[in-house]
Amino acid sequence: MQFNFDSTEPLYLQVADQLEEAIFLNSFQEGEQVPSTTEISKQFHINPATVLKGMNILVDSGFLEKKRGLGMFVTTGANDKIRTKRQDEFYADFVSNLVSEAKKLSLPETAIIEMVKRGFERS
Amino acid sequence: MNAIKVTHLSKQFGKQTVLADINLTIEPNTIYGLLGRNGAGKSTLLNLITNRLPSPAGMVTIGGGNVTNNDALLNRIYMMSEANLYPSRMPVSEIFKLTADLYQGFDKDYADALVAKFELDPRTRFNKLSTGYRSVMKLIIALAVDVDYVFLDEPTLGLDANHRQLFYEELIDSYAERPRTFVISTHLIEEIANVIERVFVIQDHRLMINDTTENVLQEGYAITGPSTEVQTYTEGLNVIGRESLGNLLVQYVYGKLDNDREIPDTVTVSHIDLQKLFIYLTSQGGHREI
Amino acid sequence: MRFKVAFSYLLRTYLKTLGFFYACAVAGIVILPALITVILGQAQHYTLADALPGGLTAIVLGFYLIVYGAITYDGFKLFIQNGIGRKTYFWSKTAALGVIILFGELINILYGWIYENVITTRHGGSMMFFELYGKYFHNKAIDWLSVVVITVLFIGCFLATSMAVGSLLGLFSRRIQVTLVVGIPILLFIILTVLISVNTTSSLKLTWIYDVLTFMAGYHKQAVGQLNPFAPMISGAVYILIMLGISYGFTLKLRVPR
Repeated sequence: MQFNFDSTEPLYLQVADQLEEAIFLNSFQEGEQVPSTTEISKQFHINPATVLKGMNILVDSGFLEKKRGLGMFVTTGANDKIRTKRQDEFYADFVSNLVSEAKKLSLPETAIIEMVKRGFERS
Repeated sequence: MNAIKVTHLSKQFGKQTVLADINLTIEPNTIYGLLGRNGAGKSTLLNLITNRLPSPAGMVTIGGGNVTNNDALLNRIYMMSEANLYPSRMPVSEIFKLTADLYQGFDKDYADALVAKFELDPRTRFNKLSTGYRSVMKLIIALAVDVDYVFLDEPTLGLDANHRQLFYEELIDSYAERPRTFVISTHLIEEIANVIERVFVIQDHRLMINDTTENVLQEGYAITGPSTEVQTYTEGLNVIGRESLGNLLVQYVYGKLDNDREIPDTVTVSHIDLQKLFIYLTSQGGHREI
Repeated sequence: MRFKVAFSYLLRTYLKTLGFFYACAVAGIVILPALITVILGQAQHYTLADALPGGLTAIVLGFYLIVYGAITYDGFKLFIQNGIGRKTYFWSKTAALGVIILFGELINILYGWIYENVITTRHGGSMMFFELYGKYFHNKAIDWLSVVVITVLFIGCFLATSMAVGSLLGLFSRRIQVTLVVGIPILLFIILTVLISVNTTSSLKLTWIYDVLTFMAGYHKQAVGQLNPFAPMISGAVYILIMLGISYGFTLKLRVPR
């Protein structure tokens, strides 16, 4: 897990994002325990309350679950849930940015579609 | 546990005002950052809260009880500062013993473990320690005493990067183990920015900011773009500083942006880090040309 | 509560340092001269009785109390660093040094007895107030006790004065302290000289200061040996209370940093 701190987003959201990413990339498997609040806060010098706030976002989203006395665990199906969530956000996060930048550059719709096709062919 | 309440606290040294009408509350189990430029009055505030300076104008209470010469309350506070208040010829191990005598609940085992981690030689006399190791010794005591409020005035003075890293780790570990309040006054803002939950900023002897770190950061903006657009957009906002590079202008704003105002395409709005925010907040709208 | 902790800490420290003072005195007054005589080859002329002054322990105790009574700031800063306030500092220091006086006086009595009966065969003279107040009650035990009380109060006066001066000095930085310590005696000396020169026709003896002092001591020319011991007891106690009051007032004003 790696945190890239920048100042544009509140720290607890960054913690949530990074943990979500780690779960999505299977750095933490479903059913596996994730590092404790203290471990994360110690390693990255972040206030435990901030880390907890970030973790709680993932608990609310159903990606993590609290097991009393044991710690935080990745829920079963977390990976699928994250995928669905990101698919839902895909339009807002990528497509609308793409379109607005294309407009600035006076690239027509057809050219963009062509580029997307090329991108898929190459990968 | 009870909060520390500071009401109408003022302090003058001779004719010079050091603190003017400070009102604040220090909650239990919270890590605070106390920020301010040199001479802003940070140390004086801490000295007043811990009753090192007597009978000020105003009051400092814990759970309603005045701290002035109140052992029961003073015993719940530990303050480490640059001032060396330990007997100078006493060896470190003796100072630990003495602390254990006077502060009940001093965790000797934890202190010993920290001594090993920081590679401090407990047989050394206090006055033979380097500045860094004096800080280390006081930090070890600060973490090992069983108190509800720990005040750290420039805790990393003279510490090298490794020891600073170790200190932040131990601080968080100790805080997680036994939650209590830390008030950290430091110039190394970047290092503690993510550790502190709340921020006090003292400027011109007054309390300028008293908020959560998150809120403070949320209210700090950098507005970047062509000079005229940026100036139009920030018209009437609380501009705390600016930087310019040719026609490109960055204006730093503290406070709410005007949501009704449309952000021009050429202008970007982003947040800034605590260090930068602090620098502009405490330098009164300085303009920097790059 | 905190008083107990502070008191026991101070008492332990005081006993240790007092022991060190006694050891130094013995080393300086007995061992060193003995060594020197041995080195000079005159060991046969050396006698313990000549080397030891009768009031050795009393001198050490008095010196000790003046020094440690005056040390104020160092104790205060240590206590405030350890969460103990000014009031507790004052009372625990006063109590601990009070115990030191009693302990020191016990040592004085023991030493006086050993000195008179073991080291020399000279009798009397180890209790300085005996010749003034020693026969008032016409009862050996009570007379002895009253002289001990007067002695303790007398030492207490020194301690209380030293505490008052020390706590005043504790308010100032080192530089001002030095100025005061040097300046005030000079000032007093000048005032005294002026007073005496103003009173050239009559000596200082005849001024009101003398009258006050003799009143306080209960002194009458006619009754030396049978002077009323309650006079010095009362004036000593009053003096100590005033000095402690002054010291207490200054102690409450102590601060870090100075």
